[in-house]
Amino acid sequence: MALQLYVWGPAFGLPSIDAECIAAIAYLAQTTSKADYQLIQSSPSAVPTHHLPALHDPSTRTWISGYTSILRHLQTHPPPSFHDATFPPPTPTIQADSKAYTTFLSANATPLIALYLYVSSANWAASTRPAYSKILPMPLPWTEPAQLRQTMSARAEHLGMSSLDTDVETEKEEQEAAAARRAGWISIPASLTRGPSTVGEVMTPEEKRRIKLEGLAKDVLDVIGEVEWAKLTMGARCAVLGWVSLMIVDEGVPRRWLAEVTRQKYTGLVEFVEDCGRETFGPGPRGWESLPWVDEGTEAHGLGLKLYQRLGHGVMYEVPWIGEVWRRWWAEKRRRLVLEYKGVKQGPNRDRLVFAGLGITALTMGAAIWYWQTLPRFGALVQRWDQPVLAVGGLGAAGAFLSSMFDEL
Amino acid sequence: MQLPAAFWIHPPELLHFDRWGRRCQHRTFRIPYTSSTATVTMASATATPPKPSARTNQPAPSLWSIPAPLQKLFNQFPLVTLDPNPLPARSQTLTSASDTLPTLYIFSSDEDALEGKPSINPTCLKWQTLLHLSHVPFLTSPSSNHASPTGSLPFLLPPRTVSPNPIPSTSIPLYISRHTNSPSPLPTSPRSEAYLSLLTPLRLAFLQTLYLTPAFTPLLKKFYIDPSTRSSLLGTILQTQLSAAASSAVLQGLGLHSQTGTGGIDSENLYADAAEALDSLAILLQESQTGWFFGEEKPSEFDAGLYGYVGVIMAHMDTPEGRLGGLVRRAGGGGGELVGWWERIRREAWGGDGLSEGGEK
Repeated sequence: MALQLYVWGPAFGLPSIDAECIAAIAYLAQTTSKADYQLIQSSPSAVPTHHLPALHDPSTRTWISGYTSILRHLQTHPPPSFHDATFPPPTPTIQADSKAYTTFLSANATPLIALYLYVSSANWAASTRPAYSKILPMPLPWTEPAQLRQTMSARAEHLGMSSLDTDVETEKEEQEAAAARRAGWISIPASLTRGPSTVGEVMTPEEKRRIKLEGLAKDVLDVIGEVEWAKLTMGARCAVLGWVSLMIVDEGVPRRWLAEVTRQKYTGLVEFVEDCGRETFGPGPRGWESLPWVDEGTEAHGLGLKLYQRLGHGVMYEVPWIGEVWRRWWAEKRRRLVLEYKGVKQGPNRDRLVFAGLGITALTMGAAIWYWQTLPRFGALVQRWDQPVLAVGGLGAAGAFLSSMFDEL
Repeated sequence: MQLPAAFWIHPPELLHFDRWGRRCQHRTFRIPYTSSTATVTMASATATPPKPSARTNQPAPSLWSIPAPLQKLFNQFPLVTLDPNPLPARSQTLTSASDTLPTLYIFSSDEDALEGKPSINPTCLKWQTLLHLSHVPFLTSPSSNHASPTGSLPFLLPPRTVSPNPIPSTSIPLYISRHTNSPSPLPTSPRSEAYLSLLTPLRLAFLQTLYLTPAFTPLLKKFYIDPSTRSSLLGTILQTQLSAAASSAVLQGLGLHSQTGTGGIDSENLYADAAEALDSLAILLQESQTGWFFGEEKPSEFDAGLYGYVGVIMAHMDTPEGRLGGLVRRAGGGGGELVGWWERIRREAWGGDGLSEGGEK
């Protein structure tokens, strides 16, 4: 059976929206014949490893995710038509250099792309978010892109450029204004205040931080711009194709600082990447469409139900505090499934114990709340005197006689 | 409280006796707006008029003076006065020697820091090794991230007589070049930047081994938890927090959501990546004729940075459970380049067995 590569769907005129996925697709396209693999457009919630690209190899019953791991798996368990001219690498130095530059790209270029397409509010709202909405099946755009943005922002956190995320800034300002109003300060309506008066106030965060951003980009590009990629292994070449082709994305992106820096100062690198793209995916701007794409729906029956299950998990992740526990439990469960599928012995499953414990706790809490509700309120009347209803029965012996008469009537 | 005698002399018209024969004190209040006066009898009646002449000669005691029986009781204390505690062992050396020597604050235990032994933390060990390699004498002191001005260890405190400002770890190379005759460090070449990124997979595998492998919990306890707290409850909490932080760091490095938990980590892949990284470093070392990375005449910051990891791995993780030790030994096709390099640095920086000679060199 053919290998199945689960990847993020196409965007920006590239085969995928994610750098690692582009690299993995390019490597498979260059080394393996189309009959031996399938490309499945998917999202991390569909694969047990929670990360794309993910390779499913039915012959070894394994799930592998991450570009370097997929490369390693393809080289050690090659499909029948696998042919990589640079494997094994011609010299140890080429092998070492290729590994070093691939690692450098994934460690240092990913934060740059995260700043460019995810952290920057303008770019996220205008291009990345719509691209995700286009490639994800319907209910999933409600949950997944937001989580992805969180993950990517965390990867760029050490660069200290969170001010590009103007959503956070606006929210903070609104909160401050609300606090000022509550505290009784006089607030001037926005219509009466002056417009921006200094240059600094009209500039976008990207323009203000342009020099710093260019510095960050240069730190990375200076290293990869000088490399003779053509001499390195196929794996390294596909990696540079993946990462740099996302760095030079500029169609529909409102603030193109990264693409501008790369295209202006590193023309050699950009040319190499564009040539490499044409060579890999064929001529034409959308040559990758001829690759063996398979629709996710035909692959997994009952996709609709699964989509709602994935949506349910996405919603659960967003619940404060419980979401964290849920995410951890679900990841652990999926991991056990993967290992069991591969035939690795697992320890006893404690899920039932946990659920029984949770059930008993919930029951006890419910019973306690019910009991609390039945108790009389504090200050409630505990004794009540009602004026007896005046009836014929209250009139002594005559009354009894009369009431028995009424009863008989 | 005794009142002065004159207090008791009232105008006769204001002296009344209530119905039990007690003398009452009358006060006159003027009620506003009515211009009439109302005489109100207060409930505070004095049952017996005191004899004013009896206590006039004694000084009136203050409101705050302590009654004599209580005073006697309090005079009994303190029952025992203990001798003052001696200063902690580490502070004695520090106070006597830190007038002339800088102090490096690292993760360590009290005894190890006193002897200047290598730290268990890769970053601390890196700078400790670099200072030794540059022959800058210094003291070490155990500390925690909370003490650091940058929020992470290590940091260097110059001699007390020179400057009170701490030096963050990133400025240590500058400090070294200023205090030795060596030229200031050259800007790093692009190729060395690329090879430096190979420490990332090594770091992830290191975190996985130390924090997330049950076999290494005793080591974690010994070096990170025991120096911080003696309470077993706090220790458990601290350990849980450390493991959670490590797993989120590993997940973030792999590109997963940081709260996925250990279920999202494929440790086989982590170790395979680390093995490939170590292989590449060993190949790089084979290229160099001098025995140090990039053909340098003497070990540089790159060497120290790698030694931070390899030193800790070879000292504590070269066991059957610690797979990283085996990976270092087998790196580069089993030629033992990295092990040979590790022993060279150890001799150069730590003087032979790697455990003695702290600040003397």
